[in-house]
Amino acid sequence: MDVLSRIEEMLLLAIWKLEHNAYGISIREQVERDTGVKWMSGAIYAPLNRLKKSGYVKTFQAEGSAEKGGRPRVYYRLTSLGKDKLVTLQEVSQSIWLGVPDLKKEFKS
Amino acid sequence: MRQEEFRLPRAVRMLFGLFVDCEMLSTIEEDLAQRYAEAAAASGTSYARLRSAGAMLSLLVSFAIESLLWSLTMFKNYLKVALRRIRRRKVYAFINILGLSIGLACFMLIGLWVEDELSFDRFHENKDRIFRVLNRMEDGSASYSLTYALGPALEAQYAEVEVACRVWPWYGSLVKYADRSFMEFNIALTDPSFFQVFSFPLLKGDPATALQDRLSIVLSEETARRYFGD
Repeated sequence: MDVLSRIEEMLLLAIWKLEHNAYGISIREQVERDTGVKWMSGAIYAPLNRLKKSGYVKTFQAEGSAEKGGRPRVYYRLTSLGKDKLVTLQEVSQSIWLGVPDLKKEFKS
Repeated sequence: MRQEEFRLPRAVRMLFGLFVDCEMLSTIEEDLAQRYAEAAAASGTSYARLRSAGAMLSLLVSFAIESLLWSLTMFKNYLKVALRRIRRRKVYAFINILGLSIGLACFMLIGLWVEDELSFDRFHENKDRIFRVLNRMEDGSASYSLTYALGPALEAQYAEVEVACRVWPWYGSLVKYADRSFMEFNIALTDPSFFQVFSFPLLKGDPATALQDRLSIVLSEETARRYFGD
């Protein structure tokens, strides 16, 4: 089982959190909210493209979502493979952090 | 938010098209448009233009690296699949690989041979107009021994033959000069037209008159040194 990079993990989570409203900009803004910093577009969309090619994420175009005069907006959604991946990632994260106390307090003292 | 007219330039669109499909392209375009509108509202259109040019460049670099990594991943995957197939069907794989390698080896050897054949005597000015006349033997092989009369006959009777030149190699001849004798293996009799057909450069003498005389001879530099000293 390949381990996803941190940004891929964040993207999967962002797409899950956004549910039916996960498109390019909203995904980027979600990651920016989660991390508290601005992200370059390339740092978001290149991994997103990789997730899509790996089959963790699929695209769809919502009916009647065409922007004024533009093309229909492309939305992103987790595949069942992506959901399984998130479950595994959660288990891995939890086992990594298991038994670690609040480090902020730990290192202050 | 006022939607400023934003469109990816054609060239940039095509460049992106090398790495991503049209869905990802429209995602990127939407993002760039939003960033452009934000920057334009904050600090004017010229600054926003600069910013989006930078953003496009960094996006392109990201996608280029990404697609390189991706092709590497896919290559590893293909390799794995191929190895598995080979392992599962050993005999077929053996036959396939053997056939392919023999074929490739033949191709390479033929290529080398042709290149070697074509690499000789490139300096002749008329090289595309020089032909060698051969004699088809009864067993299907070809022989260069022809009757002496053929040269002049071809020249006289065929308009397309400009000049004929006969060459008669004398293998292993004894050559005597003063009191010294030499066994020569590379010696040939030829027609005066020899230098008209072949453009061997002469160190000394005129190619037009070099072989006119019945008893004239043309020597290589090395042979001349051997016979006459320095």
